[in-house]
Amino acid sequence: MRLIRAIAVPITLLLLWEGLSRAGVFNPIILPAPSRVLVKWIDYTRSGEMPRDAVSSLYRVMMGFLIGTVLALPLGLAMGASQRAYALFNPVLQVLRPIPPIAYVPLAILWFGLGNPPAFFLISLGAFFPVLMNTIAGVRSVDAIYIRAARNLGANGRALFFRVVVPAAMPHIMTGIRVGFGVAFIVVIVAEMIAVNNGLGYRILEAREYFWSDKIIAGMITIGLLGLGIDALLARLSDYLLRWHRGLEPSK
Amino acid sequence: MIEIRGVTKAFGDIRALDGIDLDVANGEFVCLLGPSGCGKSTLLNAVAGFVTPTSGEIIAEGKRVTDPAPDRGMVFQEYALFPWMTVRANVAFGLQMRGESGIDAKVDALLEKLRLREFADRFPKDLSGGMRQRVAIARILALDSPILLMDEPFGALDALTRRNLQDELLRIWTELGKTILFVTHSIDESIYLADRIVVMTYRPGRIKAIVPVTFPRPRDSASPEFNELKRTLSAMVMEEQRRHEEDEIGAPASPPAGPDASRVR
Repeated sequence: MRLIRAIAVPITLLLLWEGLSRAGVFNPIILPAPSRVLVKWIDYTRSGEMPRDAVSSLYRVMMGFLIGTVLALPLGLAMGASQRAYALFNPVLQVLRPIPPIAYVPLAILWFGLGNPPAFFLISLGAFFPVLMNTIAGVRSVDAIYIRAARNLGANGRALFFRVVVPAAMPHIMTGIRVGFGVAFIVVIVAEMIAVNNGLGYRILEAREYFWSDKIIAGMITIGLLGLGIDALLARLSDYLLRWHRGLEPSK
Repeated sequence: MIEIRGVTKAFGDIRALDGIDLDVANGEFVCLLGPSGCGKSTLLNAVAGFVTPTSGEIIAEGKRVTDPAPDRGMVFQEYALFPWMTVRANVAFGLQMRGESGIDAKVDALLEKLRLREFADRFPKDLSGGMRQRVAIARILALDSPILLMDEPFGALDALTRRNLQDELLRIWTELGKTILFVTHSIDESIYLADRIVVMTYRPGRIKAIVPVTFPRPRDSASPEFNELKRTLSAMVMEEQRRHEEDEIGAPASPPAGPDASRVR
């Protein structure tokens, strides 16, 4: 019953779309029938082109995300824990934060040329701010009672920070990581539209040159499925790391 | 031994503590009793080293208190267990901070003593309030501190669990000979537990009376001497409670937290 309810709307929409396309309501270049998209998707997959594109895109996401996170985590921890670090870095970050990574595209090409480096740069920028802001918020919202208890138990300095402050901030940090990954995934598609010649973003743009709408949609669906899969993995990782957390419902 | 010498603590215009002098002997069980706002938690936090007195000094085990330290183990009303650590890890934490060896065996013995063995690998969120407070007590006992400071530790528990833990605490106290300073607003609890009850006044926080409880443990809360003492203490506490309420009604705009706020670092 639940399954039927979950798929009722998508199936209806697909059938409607298929029917309208077959009746000739849409020009297939504007909107190809779902059956054609499916055939194309299978082709695209079996030829090995799609898996290669997916791997290229994932590689870029991973690298960019890692660079962004490795920079954001220590800075966020420092800014959350120290008023001085916060006062020092916050103004410049507040100015940079609203600039969307896409606005950096021209500079990224000037600075890093073509290929993967500008993509890494743009993606890391996209992942950086969500991780940073959530880490700062996480450290700042650590309940003072834990600090007092830890000091009473003899914890100071590094032990206090790494064994109490960081784990207490972990729920926020994990949220930042999930949001950051989501942004990284958006940015990789954009980045691939400018500076590289493989990857899912590139393939969509290439298909447009030839008016292969079915391939565009097939590529989009791949992006959607990949994003869903990664988020599900991150949700499981987060559930595991935060299994101690009160009131955390397991992600579906 | 805890020596409190002329301790005053002011938060802005409010004198939470005003010239407190009190000695707690080795192995003595002393309850601080009074309504909210009488400064009993502030005094406890000062002994713990979380609050620095405006004037006066506190000497614990011969050393002047300046910071929190494991020689004065604190049990908080909100448990303050680390939720990301299992029961075992919570109990081991203090020992690890001290860099001791043979931690596992010590932790096992404590878990056994507080009947927490089968909960060793659970997280605090999966425990009842009573169980959590057992863990908090085990965590402090692990430090082997001569002084235990307890801030309304059983305040959030139901009556039966509370009585159980009170008995357990008395058992531990008898066995280990700790010096205990215990904050409560429950008259019954103070009579049930203490050697001496220190009744405090509402703002400024002063010592109103020090009442020894002379009859032997286990104390029967239905006995005549228990009830006689309860009447005496009730009269004192209610007098302060009335001043507290009049103050609140008279100045409704004043911030409610003030000196008794539990979030002082």
